[in-house]
Amino acid sequence: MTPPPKNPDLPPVKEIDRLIHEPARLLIMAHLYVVEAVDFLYLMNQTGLTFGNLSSHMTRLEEAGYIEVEKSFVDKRPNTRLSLTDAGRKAFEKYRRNMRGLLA
Amino acid sequence: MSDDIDLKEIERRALTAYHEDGLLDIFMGGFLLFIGLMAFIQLEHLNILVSFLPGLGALLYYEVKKLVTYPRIGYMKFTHERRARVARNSIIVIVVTGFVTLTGLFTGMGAPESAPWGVLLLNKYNLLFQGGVLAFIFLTLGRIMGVSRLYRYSVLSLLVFPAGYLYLDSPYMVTLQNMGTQCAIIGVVMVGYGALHLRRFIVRYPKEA
Repeated sequence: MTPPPKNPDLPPVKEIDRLIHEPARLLIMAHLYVVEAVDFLYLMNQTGLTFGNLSSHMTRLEEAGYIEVEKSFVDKRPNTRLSLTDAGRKAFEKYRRNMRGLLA
Repeated sequence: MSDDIDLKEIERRALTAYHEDGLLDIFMGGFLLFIGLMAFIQLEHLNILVSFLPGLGALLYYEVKKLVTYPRIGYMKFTHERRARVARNSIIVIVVTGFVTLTGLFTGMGAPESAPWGVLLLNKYNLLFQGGVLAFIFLTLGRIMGVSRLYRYSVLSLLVFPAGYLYLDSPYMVTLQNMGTQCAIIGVVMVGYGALHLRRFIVRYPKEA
């Protein structure tokens, strides 16, 4: 059987960023994209992810350089603030572009 | 999958969560209530006091937000562009409408009977004019800030100010007391509604021990 002809306008599937493509991380990236910074509690409330789940995805995104994590103390309580880095913002925009192209 | 992510919806949800505490209603209502009370007390230099109040109110608002909201639903900071846009547009709306209101108020206030018909008309229907201006403020602020709850206060203003023709002593005269009474009524409703929201918010999101 011959494979269907390739559409030159479509981005190849391998260009889709798999790190962002995972649903929970995609949700985190999308929430961080619309704001400047949030803290851990806010993201937990908005995404519905558990502490452990959010924490592990956060670590992976931080290792990739997509998010910046800032730990501090507010009123003697530990506080974790998260924000998208420039690289993360660009990666998210590229991911959306590629997915739109792929699904169009 | 990307098509499933509606960034506008996520931003809208963020805004809803941010204003779910009802503090905005309490502070705005408190400001109207203050104007209402001051119109009766007729303090000297009232205009200076009122012009400083929004700034002081904003500072206090963020301090209360830190105490009540952030420990419960977490901290969030909107993008710099959004914050700048909201602040700029809100100031423009408040300054322009404030100027229009005061012009309308003082044009009608001491108008003799020989004044042009436009001034006399403004004098006679000043409550409608004031209600319209306040409704416009709530409508535009609701749109700028993305808080649809403010639209309700827009409708409330359109109802409360004309209702003054039914119970105010001299509704066809332009007086600070007339405006103050109507502002105070709307202020009380807003503070009450905000307090209900705040109570619901505190019950729904208990502070972590």
